[in-house]
Amino acid sequence: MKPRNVAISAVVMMLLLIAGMVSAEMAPLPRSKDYLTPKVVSPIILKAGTIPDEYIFPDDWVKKQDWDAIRQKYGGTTLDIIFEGTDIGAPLMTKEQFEKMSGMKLNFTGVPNQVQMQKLLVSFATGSAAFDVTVVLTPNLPVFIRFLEPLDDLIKKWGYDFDDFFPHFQSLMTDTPLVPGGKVYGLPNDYDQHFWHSRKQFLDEIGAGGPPKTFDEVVDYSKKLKGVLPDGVFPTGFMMSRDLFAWESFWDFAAPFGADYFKPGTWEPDMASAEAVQAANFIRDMIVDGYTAPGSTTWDYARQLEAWNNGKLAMCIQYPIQESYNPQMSKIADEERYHSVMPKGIGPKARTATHGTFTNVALAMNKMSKKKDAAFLWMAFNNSTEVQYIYTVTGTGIDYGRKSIFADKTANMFYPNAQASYETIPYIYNDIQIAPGPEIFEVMIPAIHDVWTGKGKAEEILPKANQQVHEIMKKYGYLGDKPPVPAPKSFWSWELYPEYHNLKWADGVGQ
Amino acid sequence: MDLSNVTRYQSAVAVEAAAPPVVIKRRGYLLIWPAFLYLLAFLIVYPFGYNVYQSFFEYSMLTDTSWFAGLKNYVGLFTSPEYLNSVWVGSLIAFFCLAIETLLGLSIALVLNQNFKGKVLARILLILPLGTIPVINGYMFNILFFPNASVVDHILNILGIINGPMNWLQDPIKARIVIIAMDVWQWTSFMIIMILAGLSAIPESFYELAKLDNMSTWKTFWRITLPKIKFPLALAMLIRAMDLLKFFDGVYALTKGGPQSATETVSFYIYRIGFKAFNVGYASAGSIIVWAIIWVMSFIVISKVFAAKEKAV
Repeated sequence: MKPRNVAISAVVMMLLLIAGMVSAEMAPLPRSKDYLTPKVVSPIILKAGTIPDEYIFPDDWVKKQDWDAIRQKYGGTTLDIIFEGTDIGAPLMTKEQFEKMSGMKLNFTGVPNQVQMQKLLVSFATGSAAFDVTVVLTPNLPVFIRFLEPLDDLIKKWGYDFDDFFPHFQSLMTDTPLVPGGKVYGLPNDYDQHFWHSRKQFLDEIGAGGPPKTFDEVVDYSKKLKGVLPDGVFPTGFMMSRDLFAWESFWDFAAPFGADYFKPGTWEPDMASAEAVQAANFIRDMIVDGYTAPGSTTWDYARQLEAWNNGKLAMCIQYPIQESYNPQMSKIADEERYHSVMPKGIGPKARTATHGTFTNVALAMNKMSKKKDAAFLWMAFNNSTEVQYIYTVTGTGIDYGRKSIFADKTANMFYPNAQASYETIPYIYNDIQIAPGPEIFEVMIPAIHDVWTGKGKAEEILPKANQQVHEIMKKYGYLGDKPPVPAPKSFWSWELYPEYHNLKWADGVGQ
Repeated sequence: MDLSNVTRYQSAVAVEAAAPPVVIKRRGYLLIWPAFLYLLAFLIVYPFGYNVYQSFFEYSMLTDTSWFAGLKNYVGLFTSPEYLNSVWVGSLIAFFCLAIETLLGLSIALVLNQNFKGKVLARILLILPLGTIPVINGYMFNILFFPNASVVDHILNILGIINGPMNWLQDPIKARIVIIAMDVWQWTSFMIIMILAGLSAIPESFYELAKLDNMSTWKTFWRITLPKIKFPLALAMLIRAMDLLKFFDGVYALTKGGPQSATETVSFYIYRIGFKAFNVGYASAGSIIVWAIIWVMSFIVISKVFAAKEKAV
């Protein structure tokens, strides 16, 4: 054999050997260590500890399945999946591993958040919905229930650990949200909730020992920050564009001030109460006083995130935004921050509350799908413990809502939002989740936005909008003798779930 | 060579030629009839008819409920401050866009109609904005005028014209100005093309005669140019007016109808009601009213201006 051929053979053998070693290194199931790399996770997070070589969750649902049997039975099946455009990076991360394990093929289509509702509803209503699985924002779930497959039997059949999700989160997946009972129509996929984010260096500069605890303090901090912040950095900035973000942000203030969507236990709208008016005017005053970044009345999620990641804000209300710890996406990835429960409101009905669940996403199954078991397996895999943890910590935009993750000290070490996320749970002011919801939003959003942009005072604008909501509720029978779904006794998790009163964060875990 | 086919063809041509014109015309109609019927039924009659039908129902896609509402949707719209505001806002934006685009388009077309070096290049460059997708145009303007990152603000600040941010999209009047500027930037090119087509059809001899008569440039414009381009100009204005009354893309990409509903055009309002609130019946009625406005406007322009043209011919 010629020396050149010997050398080539040796190189090929070595490459094969290295390839073999690399594939042996990569765990067959998604393992946190393989994904939490310095490329996507800030050193500030990685220095918190050593990522275990083994699975962080060795006993989660995904590891208890017989994947050989699954491959034999469902191998070759192709699943068509609709996923939210901004978060599609998450399932794509684990696509290859799932395909290898199950022998199935996954086809993803990303649909932008803003048009998701239209595209889904029109495709379902016209009978052209040719996909097996889709994401649905939980407030829109009641609209789609007539097109979706109930999942209770599949959950039972496959032993899926649905109970590992927090009770209110489970409830949002049913046809009677926040009311016990009801059929399950979705698996919880993205546990988005709002809390307060602050940059430590700026709070230190004004001598604040920590994040604001009340909205009075928010004003006080903002006033002081205005004096010390460098040019182009503003005390706060919220998502206030004239769409669903205006609705979300409004309730981030109105709920802590003590306002409610409806009179307790009924469907009678109460969105122009003294507390709601006070909250709307409070935000307007913050805008007028220059405590919010100029232009935030046009900011949607992406715009606010861009401002935050570019270091233009000192404080903000946002989802966990773990992506701001991704050095590729954020200029403040290495900066110390406070992530805290929302400040308490002002006034006699003040409470701690956050409108935190609007974009909670359910993974739901098309009733017309011919591959229900295969589809469920992917849904369950995608929402399994370690997979959800990986999605969250790598900043894909998906945030976990499982009790078992919050209870794991190692997992929490790499998630700076863990404590705030956990401690916020009792104070979630859950969204209206009824079929006419989108019609209500289209009445309230322009009204709220009109107040913020100075068209008039909240006391003039909100009562008219509330009256229109009353008409909508009447039109759909919610104010008659037999409303289509029962009214929850409250939308505030603190009032609904007594067990939440005992949630405590100690020693790095939720207890 | 088989000449029988050639002979058959020749005799067919001969028969055709011998046929009276009326017969040929009828045969022509017969041939286009299937395609015409298809277009009429599926692209015009059915969608339009269904829209009219839905406008008499309270149909919600959210709950999949529908009941006969008679004229309730129409009455509701005419008494809805939001809808009336959107009609007003839409008309206001349309008026200013049309006026500016017409004046600017006419002026530029007159210049481009002269002989000068680089004329072809100038024409090409000026029609480039027309190739932009309207919604992309909207996003471009969003970047240009976005608070804190506004390129326009940056330039105006450097030039010393303004001091600090202008907050273009937060003030109702400024937001309208941006919307109008965006449309003018894109669609003036269309007016230029249409007017240039009219200008190029004016015989040079008209201008030579005007010169012999010592007619001033101003007089030449009023007495020769404008009357001769009246029809293409009217057609261009009509097309733009129809488009502007349905103005949507820019609003969607730039302001979402805000601030204070100052840029909520009627199309955007209908979109919100139809595709956000899914109140299909109400949105259908809204679109029928817009259609009626456009139809009446077109009818008046066509019957006045173009009837006059036919008479003149």
